Amino acid sequence: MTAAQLSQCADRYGAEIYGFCKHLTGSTAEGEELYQDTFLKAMELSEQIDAANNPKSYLLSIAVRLWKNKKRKFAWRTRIAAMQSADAEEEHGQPLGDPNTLSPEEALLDREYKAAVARCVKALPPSYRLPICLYYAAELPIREIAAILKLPEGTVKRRLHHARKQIKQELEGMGYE
Amino acid sequence: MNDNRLDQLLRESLASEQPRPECNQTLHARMEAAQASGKAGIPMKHRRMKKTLVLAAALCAAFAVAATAYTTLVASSSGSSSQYGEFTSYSQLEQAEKKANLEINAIESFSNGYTFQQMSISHSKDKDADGNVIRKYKGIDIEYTKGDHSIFLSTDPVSKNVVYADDRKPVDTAVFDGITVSYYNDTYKFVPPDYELTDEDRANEKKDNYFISYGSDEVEERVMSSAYWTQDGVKYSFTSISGEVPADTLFAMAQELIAAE
Repeated sequence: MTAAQLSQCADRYGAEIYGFCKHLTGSTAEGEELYQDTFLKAMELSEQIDAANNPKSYLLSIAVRLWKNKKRKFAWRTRIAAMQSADAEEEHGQPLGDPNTLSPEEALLDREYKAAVARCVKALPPSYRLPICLYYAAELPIREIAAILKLPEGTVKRRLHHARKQIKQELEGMGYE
Repeated sequence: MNDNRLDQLLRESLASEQPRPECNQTLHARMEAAQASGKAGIPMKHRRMKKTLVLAAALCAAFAVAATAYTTLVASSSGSSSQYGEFTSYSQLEQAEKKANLEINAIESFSNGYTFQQMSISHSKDKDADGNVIRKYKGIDIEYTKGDHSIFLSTDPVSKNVVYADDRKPVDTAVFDGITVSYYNDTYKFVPPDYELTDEDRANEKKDNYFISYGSDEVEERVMSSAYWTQDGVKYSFTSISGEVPADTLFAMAQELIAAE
């Protein structure tokens, strides 16, 4: 794959890959860093990327590997700025809900709900967070998630099930219905 | 909270979103800078040979595929070479060896007529499957020509810290002075980026020695022959990228080189 083709991939799959990076790291700044590093690493590995064979999945697999490598670095940063980061995400994140269809109260509630879900996802152990982010943020089918994580499809399904269960319990524990 | 509500919440909360424009601008700037600095992953053989052979980029990409095919722990080798033709006389071999910090077996001409044409230093990196650099080293590359045909001799130091596991069965092998030389014959089909694989392509791809490489302007199939061996801590390879060379030819050349110690 050429640099020009990779650049086109950034335009075409940027939203899914960035969304995945952001929710995986739980932070806009770290998500942007991982997103950019993914494409730069892809440039180094460009000869291995087949433009005709699902480059989105390959790019996500690079993001997963980079994130695993950098996890320790992310960990101390996250510990230092945990509260600040969560607040900042709510302050500066994308607008949630549709202001045209929700009342101010509903919009606020919607925003709180989604922020709570994001916090729950961030609190998941990596083995659960990865499939959840690949499934919901990157919008990949189970088969491709299994290929990226090098896991059987059944294991991915089980982890998704347990992750959802954990998120549900967390949300209900916080009083959300 | 029922499962559907949770699923909906997760979809809405984790929905894909565009990165900030500044983020994309930075990304494109970094990609351009990486490309300009040559950090982008252009395969070693590409850079090394493009000046001499003026081959399609796709053809050169084939070498990266070959590198990954012969190794497991070392997933790929890439890097750059000194300028083509840095050494144009065989008498400069010692100078090249000093520069590469590598002593190799080489001869000026083979009995079958292939004769020294030029020599350059390669600067290589081995990477693992995650793209992490696990080794940097220098090697010496020599081009031998006979008429219009070239055979490239690549030499690189072997490290005890990395493993190049040959996971493919060679087409043929020969043993000279206790050293095993493995011969491979690979077919590369170069196709445009938007090429759609045929049923025959898919069947061919399952073969160990058939590779499809995207990026060329036209569909083209080439056979490449190569021979590999290791001697005194140096990995040697002969490669013909423009047509099949019989095993006996490369074996005879390897035998001469091994005996040239």
